[in-house]
Amino acid sequence: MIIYKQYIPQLIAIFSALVTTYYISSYLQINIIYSSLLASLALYILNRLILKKPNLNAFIYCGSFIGMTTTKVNSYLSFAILSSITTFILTYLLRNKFNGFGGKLGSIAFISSIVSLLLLKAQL
Amino acid sequence: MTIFISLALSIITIALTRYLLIIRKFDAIISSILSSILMIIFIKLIEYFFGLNMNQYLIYIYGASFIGMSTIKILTYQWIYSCAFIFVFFLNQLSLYIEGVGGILGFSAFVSVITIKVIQLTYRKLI
Repeated sequence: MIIYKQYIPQLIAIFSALVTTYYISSYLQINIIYSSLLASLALYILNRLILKKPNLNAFIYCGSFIGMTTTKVNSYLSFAILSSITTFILTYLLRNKFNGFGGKLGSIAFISSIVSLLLLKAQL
Repeated sequence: MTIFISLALSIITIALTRYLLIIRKFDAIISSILSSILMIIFIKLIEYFFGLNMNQYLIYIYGASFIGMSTIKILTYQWIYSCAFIFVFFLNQLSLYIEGVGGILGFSAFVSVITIKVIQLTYRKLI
């Protein structure tokens, strides 16, 4: 039951932010920093007004960082799914470590992106 | 000159994020987002009035906002601004080897926070 109530929304939050950031930067041709900020802000507001789950904010922010990846991959969907899962796993492994350290979410995103790109054999 | 501007913008962004987080009691995520947006407006005004191209400094602003998300328990006011120096240097060096990977700004911010934290702990042991 905890899987549906807690884990699935968190995984979806990461994936949604990732894809939203990617979509804004790729299809709307907006600078990647602006895309991440826009996606994060939009999903933050959506979460605050409708979903009302503050614990998802960190996952949203982390997902938007992964969405800033511009390295070419054969299948962006595969990258998005793989990196969402690795981010989720890393977040849980590090949930009691480095709390209060700025950049923790970005580091998790960075490691997830690197691992996913290596697994998908992308050219770094 | 670029380095000085990057450092200055990073320090201002850290201060702004800290202000929103600690004084205004906003959530860490929204403090980072808001401070980045406010700083982007600031550099856009500089671009408009002085005709300078400030787009290259966006990465320093966004990354510095992550440093500002650190709690006071981790780094006090006296120590957190020194993270900007490590951050700018590390990001510049890392960008030479890795490009186009998400999270690079956050990772650079994290390295800077960890480094200053270690220096802080070492300093406290020595005095």
